Amino acid sequence: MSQYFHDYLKKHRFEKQLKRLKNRLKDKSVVIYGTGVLFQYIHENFDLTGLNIIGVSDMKFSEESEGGDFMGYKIIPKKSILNYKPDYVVVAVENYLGLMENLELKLFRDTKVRLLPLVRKNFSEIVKTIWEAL
Amino acid sequence: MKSKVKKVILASHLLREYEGYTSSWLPSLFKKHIELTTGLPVEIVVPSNFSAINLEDYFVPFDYVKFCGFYGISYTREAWGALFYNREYNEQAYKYIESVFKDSLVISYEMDACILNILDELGIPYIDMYISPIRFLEDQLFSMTSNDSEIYAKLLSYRLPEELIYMQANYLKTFYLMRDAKKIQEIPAVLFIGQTQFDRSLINPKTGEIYSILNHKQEFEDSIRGFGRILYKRHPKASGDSSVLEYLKTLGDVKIVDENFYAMISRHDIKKVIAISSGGLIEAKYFGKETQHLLHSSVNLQYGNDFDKEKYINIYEHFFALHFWADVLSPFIQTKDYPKEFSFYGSKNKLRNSRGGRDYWGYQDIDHEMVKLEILSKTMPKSFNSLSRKALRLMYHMTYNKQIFDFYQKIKNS
Repeated sequence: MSQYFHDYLKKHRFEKQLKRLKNRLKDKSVVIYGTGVLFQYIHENFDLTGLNIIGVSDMKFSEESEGGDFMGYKIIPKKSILNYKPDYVVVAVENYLGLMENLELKLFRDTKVRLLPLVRKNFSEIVKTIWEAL
Repeated sequence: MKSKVKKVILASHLLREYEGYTSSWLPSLFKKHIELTTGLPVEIVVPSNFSAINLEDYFVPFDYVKFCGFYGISYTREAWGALFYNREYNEQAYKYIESVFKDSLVISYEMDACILNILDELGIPYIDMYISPIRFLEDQLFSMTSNDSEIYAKLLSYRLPEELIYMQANYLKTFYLMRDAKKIQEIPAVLFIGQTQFDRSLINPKTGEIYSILNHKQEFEDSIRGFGRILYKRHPKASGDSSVLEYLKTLGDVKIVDENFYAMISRHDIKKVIAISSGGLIEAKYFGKETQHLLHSSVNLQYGNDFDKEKYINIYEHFFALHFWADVLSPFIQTKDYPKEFSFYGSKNKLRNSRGGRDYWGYQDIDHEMVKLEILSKTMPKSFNSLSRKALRLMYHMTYNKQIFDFYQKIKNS
């Protein structure tokens, strides 16, 4: 599995992406959304300290788990994200297009919170996904 | 010879509002077989709202609104679900069924379970059938049952050996291995098969409720636990499943896939296949997958040899032969037999094509006989609106600008 993510991140030039992301989000508060295998791999293999991550969120975190610890980050249940007033929510899943749109629509519409993917797909992949969608 | 049968009735599901073609399909397909082998009058019973009948023959309307009324139910889709498995005795309903089906032998397609139950209690013999959930053979097959043990025994004698199903699955796996090997990922994935919104198999027999994962989120989330990737295969005829899509997208690493179903269950990275009740799970078994029904199996198939009218028997192509009907109906009717050769010379895709080529499902990938414009059209924008939508969606994912997203939503909802 780790070989898969190694190749996946290499293909998407993640090191370069991360550097740019750190510059862009300098002094901004960030919540990571999505704590699955992709994020865990990145957490273990890349330096995320340049990002001001105030917590991590995921569908799987219950309201009771709020404030707990996940891989050294504060747990923020999905419903509570806005209480933390993050500047950015960075989505850390592989196929993020639909999820980001859903979050934008259901949680962050009419708010100042901005969304970004942690690992951005390349242009041709995005075009392909959108073109093939029903 | 058993009790006197004076006529044969052909019918499809009677409690479900439906377009005409499904009600006329089975009668149209087998009426001539039954006339030739039995010499008896053949009647066709159809739902009373059925105006689009293509048959010139005499048909008997079945008033399903009146039938529901006997149980104090106003007809709705939900009511259909509640009544489908009903076994409650109701004098008026029984009398009504008797008035329509008396002195007949019934040959039906996907007949509502409550009507089959009444036929059985009234001692009226029936043969009921489905298109078998196993749809990857060279032709589709029927799954048939009967409430009469002698007819059932005859049906069993025509059963398709399971080994042949495994052989075909193995052949398809080989085909896809050769074609798709380079595309396959290593991470284990679970595949969730979507279904249409209203389907007999979605009815929970215990509650009458039409099952949706939106009402059973915990069960669904338990079933996918432990997998890094979740793939969702929408039903080819799915519509109105946007809330399901929205829910799935909240679960994290979910990918909506439009790949051919048989290609997917041939892949070694897909370890488990789940569905509410889809027949696809029955097929996945033959491809060596772990499977899980969230509700139940769409059809209860007979793998043994005992008489059990709840278990349906897979039969391949024999039903196109006059000999089959002469033999199967002989416990009740003095039939005229025909040589076994009185059938189609080549039956490949005969049943599959008999519904106007509409129902190839995943098999179109394997058999290129049918070039369907509707498949091509799926890959092309249908209108300017569709193009604008895609363009705006793309712009949003290039910029993550909220104003573009709002505009995209407006176009999407227009």
